Amino acid sequence: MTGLKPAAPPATPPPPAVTAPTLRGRRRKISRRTRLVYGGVGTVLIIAAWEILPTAGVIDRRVIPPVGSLWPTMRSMFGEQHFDRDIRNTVVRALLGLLLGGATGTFIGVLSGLSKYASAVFGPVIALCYPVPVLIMLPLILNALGNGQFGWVVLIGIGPFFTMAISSRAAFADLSRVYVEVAKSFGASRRMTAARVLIPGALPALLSGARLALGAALLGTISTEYLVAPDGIGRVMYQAWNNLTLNAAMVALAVTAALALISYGVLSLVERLVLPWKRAG
Amino acid sequence: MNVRPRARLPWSRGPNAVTSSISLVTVALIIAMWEVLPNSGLIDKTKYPALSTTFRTLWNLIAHEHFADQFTKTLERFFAGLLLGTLVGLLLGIALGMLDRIQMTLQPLVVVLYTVPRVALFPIILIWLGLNENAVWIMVSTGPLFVMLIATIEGIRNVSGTHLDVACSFGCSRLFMIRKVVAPAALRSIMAGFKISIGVALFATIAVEFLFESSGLGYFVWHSWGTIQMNNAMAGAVTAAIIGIVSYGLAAASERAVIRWRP
Repeated sequence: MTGLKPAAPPATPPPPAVTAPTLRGRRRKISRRTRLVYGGVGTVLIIAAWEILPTAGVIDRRVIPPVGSLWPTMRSMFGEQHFDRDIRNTVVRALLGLLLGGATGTFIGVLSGLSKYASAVFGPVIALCYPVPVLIMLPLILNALGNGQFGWVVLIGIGPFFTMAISSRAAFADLSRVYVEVAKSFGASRRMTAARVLIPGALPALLSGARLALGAALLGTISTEYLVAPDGIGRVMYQAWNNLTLNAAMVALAVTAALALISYGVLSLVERLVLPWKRAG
Repeated sequence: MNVRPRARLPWSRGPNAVTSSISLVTVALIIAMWEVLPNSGLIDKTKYPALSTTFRTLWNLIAHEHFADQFTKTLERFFAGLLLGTLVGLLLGIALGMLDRIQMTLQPLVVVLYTVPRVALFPIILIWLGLNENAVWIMVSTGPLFVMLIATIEGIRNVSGTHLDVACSFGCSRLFMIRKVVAPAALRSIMAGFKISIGVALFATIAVEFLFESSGLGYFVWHSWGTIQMNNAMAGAVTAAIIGIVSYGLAAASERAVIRWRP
């Protein structure tokens, strides 16, 4: 075989240790269990304070209603006001936007990560459009696509589009050149290099991009619903402000938080499954 | 011996004459399309104003004092919210980054507030404070606050233990350690957070003006859209876009100025 020269070992820095700088130089390793215990205690304390302080009258109930008082609100919202329907609409819109925007963004990002010509075409346009606040383009987009589900989904998809375009381009462009050189030296075919080197190498960055895209999709969905959609969690929040019903606003906030946490949890699960080598760290 | 096709990848070789001209042509084409398509009647120019129409409208609007007021109002909200959120987030982040027991206890609250889309906090802030300029500043500041909080904590926690050990071996004082080891190491993450904060704060400013306000560029665009004056809406949107691009560019430049070393 020709051209087989010893390549330098990849100079990857060691993974950042999960330590707290104590400023005394000693590195204290904090175990996962300790973190969970502290987090659990924190959660319980916060919820207890949320219940006890307003009931005891330390905090005005009109400023922070006790947790317990949210239950009746929640029951009536789910019962008479069909809040479950709003939640379903929001989830569907967020997912559609995420899929549409995320898929096109990933496609363009991967293309520009792998080809310098694609990068030359899309790079400047994306760099220029990225800092533009998406919402300001709402009139233009809804003019073009109509003020209906399709227009909303495209509007929601713009955030994930840019996030995925930028992060997937970086995922491939930042891969250490040495890895590919090594594959080349061993005479790996294009396909093999892609399957064994490029995709596994880019996956961590792609997945952290997906995390950002998820946040962008949720933000876009709630904002769009606030502004133009006739239903959805965002609309319920807007009505809560209009009617000055703090309890309803808090229930809507809690449901949104739950949705966000569940979707991030699912993504973490995917991360653990797809990136088994990260689990060790 | 069969020669298999080898993987060839365009690893960040930087722009050359060919790629630069491709970039230029693409941008020129898009600008040309923006000008030609509406004027040639291929797309409706009352719905999508052409480039020249947009900038002519903008020029006329700038002469009109009312528009300058909207512009400064938006800028004021954006900067006030950004400054407020960045400072509070940075200070809280430094505190939580150093005190890890408190940080671990508050972690669930921070995570929930960070992951929830910030617009979901708006109705609660509004019910608490009422619709006034203070509430607007606080709504805009929520984004930068949580982004900076997380970025600062991350930055401080990921300071290399080896660096701390070395500094400790040389008998550095606590203050010296913070100034010379922790702060420079955390600065990367903090500056990255600041760059994100800019976009987040501008998004929130526009959202607030769309929803609740009767002044500012967001209101101007929303109102123009509602009254089918797309020329005005487009001019306002372009102005907001320029604010976004310029402030992001400034943040990126300051990041390069502050972080002069490469990792």
